[in-house]
Amino acid sequence: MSGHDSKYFSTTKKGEIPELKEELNSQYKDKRKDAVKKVIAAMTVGKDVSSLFTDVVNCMQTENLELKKLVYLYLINYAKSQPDLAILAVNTFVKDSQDPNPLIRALAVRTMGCIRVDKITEYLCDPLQRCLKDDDPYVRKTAAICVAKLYDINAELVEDRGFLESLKDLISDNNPMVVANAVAALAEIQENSSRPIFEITSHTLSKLLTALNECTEWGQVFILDALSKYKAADAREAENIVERVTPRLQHANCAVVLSAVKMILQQMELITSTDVVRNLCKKMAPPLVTLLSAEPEIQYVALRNINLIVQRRPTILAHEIKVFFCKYNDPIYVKMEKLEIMIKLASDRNIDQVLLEFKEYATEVDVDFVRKAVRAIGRCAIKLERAAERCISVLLELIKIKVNYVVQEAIIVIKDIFRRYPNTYESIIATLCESLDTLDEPEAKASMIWIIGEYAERIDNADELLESFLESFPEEPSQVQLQLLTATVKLFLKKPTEGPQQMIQVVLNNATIETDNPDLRDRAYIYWRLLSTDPEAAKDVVLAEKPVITDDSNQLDPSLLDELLANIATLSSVYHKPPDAFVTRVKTTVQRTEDDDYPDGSESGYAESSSHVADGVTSPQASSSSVPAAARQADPAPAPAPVPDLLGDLIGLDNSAIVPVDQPSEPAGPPLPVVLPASTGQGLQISAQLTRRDGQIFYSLLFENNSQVALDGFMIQFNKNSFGLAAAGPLQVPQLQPGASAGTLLPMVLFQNLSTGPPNSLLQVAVKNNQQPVWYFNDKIPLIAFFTEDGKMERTSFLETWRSLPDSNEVSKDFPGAVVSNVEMTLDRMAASNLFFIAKRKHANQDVFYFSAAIPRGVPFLIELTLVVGVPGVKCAIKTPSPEMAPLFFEALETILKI
Amino acid sequence: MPVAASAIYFLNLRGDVLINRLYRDDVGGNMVDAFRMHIMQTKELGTCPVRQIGGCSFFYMRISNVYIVIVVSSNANVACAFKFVVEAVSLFKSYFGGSFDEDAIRNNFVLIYELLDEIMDFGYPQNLSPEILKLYITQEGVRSPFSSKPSDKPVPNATLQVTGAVGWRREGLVYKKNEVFLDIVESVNLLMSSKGSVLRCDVTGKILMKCFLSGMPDLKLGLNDKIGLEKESQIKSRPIKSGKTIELDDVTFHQCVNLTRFNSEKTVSFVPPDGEFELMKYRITEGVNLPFRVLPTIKELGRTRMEVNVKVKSVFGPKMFALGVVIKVPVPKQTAKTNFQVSTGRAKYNAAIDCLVWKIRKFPGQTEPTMSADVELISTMGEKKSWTRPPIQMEFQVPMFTASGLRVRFLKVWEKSGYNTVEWVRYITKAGSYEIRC
Amino acid sequence: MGILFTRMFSSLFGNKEARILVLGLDNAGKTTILYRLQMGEVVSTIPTIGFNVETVQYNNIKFQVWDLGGQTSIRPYWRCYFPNTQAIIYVVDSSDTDRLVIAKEEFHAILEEEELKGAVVLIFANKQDLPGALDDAAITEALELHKIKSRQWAIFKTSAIKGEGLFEGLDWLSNTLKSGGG
Repeated sequence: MSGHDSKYFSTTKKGEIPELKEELNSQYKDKRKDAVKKVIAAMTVGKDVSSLFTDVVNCMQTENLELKKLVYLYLINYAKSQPDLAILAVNTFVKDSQDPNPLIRALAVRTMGCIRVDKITEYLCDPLQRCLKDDDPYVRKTAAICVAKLYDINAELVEDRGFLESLKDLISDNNPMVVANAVAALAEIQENSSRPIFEITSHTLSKLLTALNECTEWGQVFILDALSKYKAADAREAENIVERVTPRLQHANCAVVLSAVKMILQQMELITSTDVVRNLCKKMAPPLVTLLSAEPEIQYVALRNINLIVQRRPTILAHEIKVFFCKYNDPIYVKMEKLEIMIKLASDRNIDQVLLEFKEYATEVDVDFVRKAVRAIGRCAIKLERAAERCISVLLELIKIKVNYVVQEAIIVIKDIFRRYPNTYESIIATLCESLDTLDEPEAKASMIWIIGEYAERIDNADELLESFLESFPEEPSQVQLQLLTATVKLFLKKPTEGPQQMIQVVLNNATIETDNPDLRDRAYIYWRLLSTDPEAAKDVVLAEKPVITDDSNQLDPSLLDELLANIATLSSVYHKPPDAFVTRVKTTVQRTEDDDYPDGSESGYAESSSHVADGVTSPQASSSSVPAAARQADPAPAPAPVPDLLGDLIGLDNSAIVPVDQPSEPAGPPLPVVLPASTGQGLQISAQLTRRDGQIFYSLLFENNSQVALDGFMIQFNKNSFGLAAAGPLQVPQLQPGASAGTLLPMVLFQNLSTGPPNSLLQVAVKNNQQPVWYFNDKIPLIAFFTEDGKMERTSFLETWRSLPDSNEVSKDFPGAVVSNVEMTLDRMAASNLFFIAKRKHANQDVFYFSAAIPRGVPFLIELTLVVGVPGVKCAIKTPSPEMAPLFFEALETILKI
Repeated sequence: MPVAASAIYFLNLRGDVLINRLYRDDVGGNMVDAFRMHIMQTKELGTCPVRQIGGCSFFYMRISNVYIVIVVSSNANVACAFKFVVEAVSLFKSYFGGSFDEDAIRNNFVLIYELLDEIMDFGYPQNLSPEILKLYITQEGVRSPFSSKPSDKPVPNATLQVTGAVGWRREGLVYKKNEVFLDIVESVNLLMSSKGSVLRCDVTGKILMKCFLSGMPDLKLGLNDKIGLEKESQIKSRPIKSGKTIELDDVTFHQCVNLTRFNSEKTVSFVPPDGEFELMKYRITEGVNLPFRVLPTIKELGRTRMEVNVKVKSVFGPKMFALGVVIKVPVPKQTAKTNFQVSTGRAKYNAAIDCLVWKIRKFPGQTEPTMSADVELISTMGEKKSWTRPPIQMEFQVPMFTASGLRVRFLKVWEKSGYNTVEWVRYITKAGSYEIRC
Repeated sequence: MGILFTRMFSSLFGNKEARILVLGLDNAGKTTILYRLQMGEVVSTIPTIGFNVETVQYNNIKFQVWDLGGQTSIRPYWRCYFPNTQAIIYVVDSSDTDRLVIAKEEFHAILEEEELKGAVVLIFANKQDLPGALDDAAITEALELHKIKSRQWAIFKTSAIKGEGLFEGLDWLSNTLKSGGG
């Protein structure tokens, strides 16, 4: 029964494209068909076969339906890359749209709608008009969707040609599938239009509810989703609607069930009769539970939705908590969601059972799950006052197991329990203190310290305990430092004895003079001032009664919840975010840039160039426009107003020494360094370097094929790095015959996959092709490539910036071997690398030069070079908000000076 | 909007693209790179099946050695998308003769592209019914139902059947012998505490049907469920004798079942697809007959020895028997040596899954075999954390037994030609997730 | 040309198809001619945006006939179809005297094409049924056919609507191709 298509993937080594071209033009039909299959196979694996466009299109007029479909598929993928040649396909489309075979008529109009080329769209209208009124329902249902496609390409055309009216007529079609597709198309068009286009009247409503019974499962989803926007006039209408929708809850298709639930929940808001509501809740529970026996991915979607549903209608699943107990083999994402729902459903009635479960989960293997289970116990304690004690005893049992992360998580939640029930459970503090030395996570440490400070008067050795933390104060993360500071102040206020007094001095000293953290310093100064001026006021402030907390974590704001419930089954309900938060509705005609458009910010962004990657036609410049082009030449900086006084004040500037420097020309690039020698790369040699051109960072690459075989299908990938460098587009390297080489400029973007830790210049690169294993190599990121064209500062702002930066942000380094023998040439070279000359002064026999530079996200570098012309030895001092970049900067400078 | 996909990709485990189909213009072709880089090559894989990367969202499922990835940029209907993937996979399986893996995809990529074009339009799922699609999308692809050439087998009304109200059954079927096979397959899910109390227990059952019926028959199925019986006696205004009745928590039906009628009359009536299909699924939590009880005692003797004793009781009728019984008792990773004694079957230690595996091929009702094992452990220095015991898991099949007590009372077939039908019913109960904590 | 070579050619044409391009300005009647040849009847046509391709069997030769759209916008893409072409049928609207100059220029541009060096040329002076249509001699003059060198060519008066002249032209074409004139 199985096919043998895999042979089409194996290709001959040499001259693939010409060979295919020849086969496509073969006299023999079978050969042509095989050739088209090979083309599609090549397209699938990402090879660029757009150059075969006319040859493939010429196979279009065929009686062979399979071949025709393949050609159409090719057109969908490549028409946009060959918009002029695409016109050659028009006649065949138009012909096919009048074929006696309805499958071919539908195929033609369906495919034409997928080809977003103006010249083709122009000719789509007449066939579409005919197909909307076709005798065959299969053609009409296809045409209905095609109207939505056309609207996406050219909304005006749809409105001008009266397609909306034809589409609305199809709602009354006698075929249920046509109705369903028309509804889907209209709903989509409405969503993208600000005008009222598809308004559901009570008449359409009733017609569509009737159609529900007859359409396919998917059609039912389209109709239910469209109808869920309908606002019933009153409770009676709402009840009627619900009555006709509830049978859908028994459908085997989970999407039908969830869409039905969505619609019922919407209408329930209007229903006043408590009996009816109770009855509906009863009816919805079983189908929701049944969703949990579906595939895990569907379970996940269901669980995220149930999470929302129980927030609005807690009664629905109040008695079903057992179905959310985790199975040992549930995927982790299912377990996490189940846990969340268990917390929501936990009540005084079932808490004992729930706690047994949580306790069981807390001994499982997956650390994240265990932590969440421990935290869940705490949240139940906060939520259920009467069960709090039982929850705490479970937590204490878990602490006794002495598994490090369990203990830490338990302490974090116990801190919250103390806040919720002040003066109730402090007897357990002694037990907690036993685990003190095992704490190594900041949050747990901070929580423990908070507890010690808060209850210092009841802990006999509170001072000893805190003191043990103080030794490492400077090394602690700021979260812990802040808590230590506050806890020590509390201790001192509660027990103003000698010990605490000494401690407070140490802490205040540490937190003011010894720290760079402004938060910590500010808080310390406030305490200091309070303590030294008015200790009573300090008590009022520091020991004030804290507001009692409630368990509102993971509870959504009611209006957001409304919006999410209206979006049940959609992404919005899975993310628990309103659609606007993650859908960037950009008209496809607008060129997108990938700079800051991403809702999450943390995730990497991709250039959503509207063309297919395999097109291979987008030039690097066109496909990436992330870094704004330099305005250096076009927009010269205004002549700086002389401010000798200010500048002189700071650095004793010799006015007469201000020398304006002209912009230099670009130096010619030296050969690229080899990053993968041929000996390592089985004959493939790669040379590469990051460079900056026209305000944009490129990875300049040279591939040399010294192997015996042709290499193709090159792809590149960058590991996380300090600058988040990533490719802005696909690597464009043609097939490399043995002995051939090819160079390319790969446009790069920044801040895509940032690594953590102190910045370093390591760039790990992986390159693969279809013939060889993946090659990994390390390259160095030269900071030079990052200096932006807009890094030139006016002298006033240079001065201000210099002053505003604390001295701790100044780093200097000597370059004993560097010699500047020709000042002008050096300045030229610096300027060519976007290190902009500001001013020059004389200091004794030395020359002092000032420069400014900036790297992306506006991080400035203020640079001071001290040297004697012609004498070896250059001293460089820089000031920048990011002093951790200094080593990289010095490396860059060395490169510039060395030449 | 109920859009389910802007693009769909099939990838192998290395991340190579096997199939890619773009349905909409709103996602770029390089989206698959994003998936590879940010999900496949990171530990994110498997932590969540719905992920946002940049402006796009990815939904993915792994089926055998293939990832199916859906990309969207709108607020798509995720439930619809996943269900579409599930249905599409079963469609492909039905075309490829049951298998769906990398090889099957490579060998049928032309057919897959053809089907993908047919079953989804602009991201909206269309008809995915294998029965109907096979009318006009064939393995050879050359058969055109409207061709006038005599060599082609004409299939009239293909398009009408795709879009028709009975979009799952074609007309004009003829069988010499009209037969229906019903398989009631139940999975018992159990979670039992170490003290022997039932924490969670339910039965998910499905009724699988194989229909070989001529024409357009109307079928009606009667079960021994309480609500259905009550309704029936109401309608007939006399009590119906039926012995034991059961309460179904929930039922879901194949799209052929008339839901409105089920809602009002509680009868399961339908025009079945031809051949094999899943008619309904149900769930029961009350009054479940557990086929097995497991009584484990596990003693840790110091840090280097464990004693494991497991007794398994079969609680179904003495004339019945279970097949393929497997009991897996987890042991620590540092297990070095094991010694077994079993009263029946065979037991061994499987290091790959860290379990003692006890297999009993045929297990009669009302018996209680035992296994006892001595486990020697390698003493490890660093491991301070005590061993967390995963639950004991059990597999079995019990023919002619339903854990729910469900029985088929009748299956009526009406067809206008009035032929006679032979009906066959089988029952089987399998272990779902049958876990006993220890 | 030797006998052997001729035989080879005819046997070649026995199972292979001869590739023919039908070219000419828009509205010259190319599509109508194609379907008249293929189906023997007049079909209603719309301007061809792109191409039509049909197989026509005549005189034991299978012609694979490519009818290419004549619009100004499509003419640049004719060249995509030139390789491996055995013959060109150039169709002229004999009544469209205003555009004969353009027709001539396009025609001679085609003859210059390297890839068409070996192709024989058949000219149809079409639309003879219309009043004011020029005859074959006038069209020969207007297209400057006498300038054709080292290539076999012929011109026929045709009316696609009435079906006149087409098969005479095809007769000439098949004979010329059989004798190895391609």
